[in-house]
Amino acid sequence: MADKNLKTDPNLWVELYADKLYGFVLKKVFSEELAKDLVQETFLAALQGMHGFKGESTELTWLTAILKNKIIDSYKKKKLPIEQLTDDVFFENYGHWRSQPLEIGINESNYLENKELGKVLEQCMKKLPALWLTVFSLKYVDDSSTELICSSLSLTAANYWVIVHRSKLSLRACLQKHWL
Amino acid sequence: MGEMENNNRDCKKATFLIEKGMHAQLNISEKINLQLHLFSCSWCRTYQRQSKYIETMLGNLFNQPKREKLTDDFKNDLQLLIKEKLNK
Repeated sequence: MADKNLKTDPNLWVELYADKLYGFVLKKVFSEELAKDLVQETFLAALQGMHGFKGESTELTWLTAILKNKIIDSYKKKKLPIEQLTDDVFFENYGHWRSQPLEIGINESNYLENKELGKVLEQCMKKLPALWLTVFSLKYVDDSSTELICSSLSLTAANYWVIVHRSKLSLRACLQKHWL
Repeated sequence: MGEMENNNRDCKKATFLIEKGMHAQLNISEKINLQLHLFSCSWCRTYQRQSKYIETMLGNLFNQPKREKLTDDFKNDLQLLIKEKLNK
């Protein structure tokens, strides 16, 4: 060890934390390539900042915090286009449903069946426009606040709610189509 | 058509408020409009029930542990990269 004042040993990071960080980021970004890049960037950023690590939190907590920032940075970098939100496949003029939302076979007591339903939902998620998927990912990265999501993606609050609304309508329709 | 009647028939608005209400506080008039609408609209009640369930599933989807691991090759490269940076 070169530096006695260091509270962390970078030589052990990969062995101890790489898989954990990878598992964490993978469920946020839905892309293995991007997930790998982000893990690598996290370690590189941690090397630069390691003298500031005081050991007040665990190394894993510290690294995870860096990773979260990297995830948000990656969204910013993508400069996601705002998809057309004006044309409406779900509602007619005056806001009537174009077609009735049908019952979806959701069995609230059957866990296994719902696991299958979860897989269908994951497929449906991947069909959403990139920006919408990103909003959802951010929403569930430790419950990012609406304000943080909007500022991260340069969205107005009004656009944000429209995207949430449209995404949910799309997911519901997709489930109805593939699960009913 | 009166404003209230118009509002009561607006499923687009109602489903918007359902979604917003799950993550933010609706104001009083939004709440009342939504309740009035839901009272008379079974389609939107169906939507509301399903949307809540989808919300739960989304939470599970994003938070379920992923078992995928990095390959040894990738980890070895990463280890080398760190060593290299440390020795700079």
